Amino acid sequence: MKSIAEINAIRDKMQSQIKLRDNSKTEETHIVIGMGTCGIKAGAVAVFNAFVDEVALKQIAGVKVMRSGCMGKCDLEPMVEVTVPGKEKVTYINVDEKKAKEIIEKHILNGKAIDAYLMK
Amino acid sequence: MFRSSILICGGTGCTSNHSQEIREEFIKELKEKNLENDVAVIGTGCFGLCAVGPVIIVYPEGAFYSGVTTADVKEIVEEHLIKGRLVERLLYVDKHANSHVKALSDTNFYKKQTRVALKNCGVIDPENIDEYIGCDGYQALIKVLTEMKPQEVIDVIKASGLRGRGGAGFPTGMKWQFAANQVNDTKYVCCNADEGDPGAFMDRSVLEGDPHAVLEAMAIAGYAIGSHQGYIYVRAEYPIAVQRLNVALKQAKEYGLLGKNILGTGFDFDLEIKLGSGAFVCGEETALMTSVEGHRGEPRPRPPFPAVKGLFGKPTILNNVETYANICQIILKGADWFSSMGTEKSKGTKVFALGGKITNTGLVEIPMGTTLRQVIEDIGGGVPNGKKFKAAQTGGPSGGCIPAVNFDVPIDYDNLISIGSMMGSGGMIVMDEDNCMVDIAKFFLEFTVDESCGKCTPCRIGTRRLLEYLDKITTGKATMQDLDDMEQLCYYIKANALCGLGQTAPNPVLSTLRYFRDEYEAHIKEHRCPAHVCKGLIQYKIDPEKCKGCSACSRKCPVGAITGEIKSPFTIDPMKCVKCGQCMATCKFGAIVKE
Repeated sequence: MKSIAEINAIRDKMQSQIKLRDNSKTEETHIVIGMGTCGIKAGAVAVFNAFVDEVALKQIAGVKVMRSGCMGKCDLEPMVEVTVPGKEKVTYINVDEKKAKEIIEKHILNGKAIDAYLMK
Repeated sequence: MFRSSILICGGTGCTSNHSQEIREEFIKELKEKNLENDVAVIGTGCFGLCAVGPVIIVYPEGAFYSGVTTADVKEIVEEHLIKGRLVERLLYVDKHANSHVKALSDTNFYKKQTRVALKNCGVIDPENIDEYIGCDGYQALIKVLTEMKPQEVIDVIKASGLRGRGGAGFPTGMKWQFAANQVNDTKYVCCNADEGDPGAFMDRSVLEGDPHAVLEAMAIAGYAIGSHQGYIYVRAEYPIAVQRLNVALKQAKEYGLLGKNILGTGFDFDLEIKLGSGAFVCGEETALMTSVEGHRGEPRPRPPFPAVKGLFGKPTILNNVETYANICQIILKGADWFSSMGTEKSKGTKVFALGGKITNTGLVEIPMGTTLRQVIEDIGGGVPNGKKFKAAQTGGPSGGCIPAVNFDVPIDYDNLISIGSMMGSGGMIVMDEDNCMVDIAKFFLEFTVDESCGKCTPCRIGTRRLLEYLDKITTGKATMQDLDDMEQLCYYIKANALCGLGQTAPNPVLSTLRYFRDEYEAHIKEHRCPAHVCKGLIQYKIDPEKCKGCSACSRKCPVGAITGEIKSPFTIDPMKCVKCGQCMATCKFGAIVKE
């Protein structure tokens, strides 16, 4: 038998899983990682996982991490597009796990894009 | 932490289209690619678009794939899940936009719906209580048990304006109040999941997709009226629903959400599942309770109403599955939220099972007050093959046909009754110009005659006589006097039958008579079936101009009625012809016509 507190704990834990399935909100930040063959070869899987883990770890609401295909500049992969509602889309290049954490910290949480990593 | 979720529809429609095999294939394929810890494979309830099943949705992208087979699994895993490229060819094609649509939420079918009772259907795994809890499941029960008095619960339900979704539309809050007012140690809460109308599958879909919502609502009802025991009466023809209910019941008991001393609050409530064996009359409330008691399912006269003297002679409330599916959200979001949807006297939403001559066969939920036109044209995608809409049948064997002239009537309980039909449990069968309305009435009468329990004479004998009149009409042997007599008989049965089933049995005849009397008269006066359906009144003929003499029809004919010489026109012997229509289906040149 569970207590009310335990039921609420299950709810909080499951909510992050189920939020993944919500497609109704347009007002959310999208982080899209290029996962074509070129991207995967350049380490996009680790970058993708780093983003997913960071978002979950810091419990950031309204952010969706998604895959896409080859973005067309294979030599700059892994490439990451970040779209914040109401702002123009920016594209990061040669992203690795360390940069991913930085992007979450500075861009997603504090609203400042990191110019040094952006595609010129 | 999963990065993606594959939601695979596990409703009855998609299951019969091998969605379970697809699920297993995904699990196998993901394991091979070492993705089993990254991608969750979840079986869910019905998404609603049964016509294009099996359907799956891949999140976070929300890509909506339709008509998936096990052979497609590998491609979806390699392309979509590994490389992030959507598999274009499997994306759902929206008939309106004539293009592939990425997400289910972008389709016309979805955009015009409001999902309340179906909120979790197609979103969560119905066999995992944690997923339900993650969607605020059992929060309503916690709120009721810790913050509200029983009377407050009833007041909220009353204020919401919720009416019974089984068809008759009795205010739910009032029903609960009657039972709560009874002074008795033992009271019962029952759930009617004996969905027997031909063409209706809303309740099944709710039970298959979100069983916990019904369990939670029943516990709330128990608290409100002072009951500690509930029964769910579900038909045995719904094996998936029964199995998921059993799983849900077991999980809820393990978590202490049902049983003794729920969540340590001191409130006891237990539930039991009773299987019905398919008698239509057991959907009638008094017959249902007689059946739960273990007797032969037959109705009894009311009053006394179940709220006074119901199951085992104790005060009982009986609500439909869909009614219960609304309860938890009314408790959590408030009566005002619920009553802001719908029309003046019909609040909230209603689930309809769309079937018949319609592009998007499936399950839809609309706010009350939506017009038939919006349901059929916008959500349902219209009548296929360029045919003309003739009528929509709602309410099953108790309802009637709504003709095209009433296309813009807002759908609610009272409007449907005023145009000669009824809400019913929510089956909506669309008919086009190829449907004969007399034949439709006959179909429903055949059903009622089969299902009449036989307890009262007006129903047992009256419906049989009614069917005989219809038989006479469809074979061209009836007179205009018969038509008048038949109409009189309808009113007689309506006035004198014992239960709702008998009282509404003549409705299909009366409503088609009201709107399509010309079709009845064509059968009687001209011995002609305008839609070319009634076998006694049609003839198959071969157009000699178009016939190439290929002999395909002749070889297909089961009774050898078609003869002729190769390369010259064939002929059909009307004396031998049994009007099976196989020749017409076989002919490649459109040379065979019905007259």
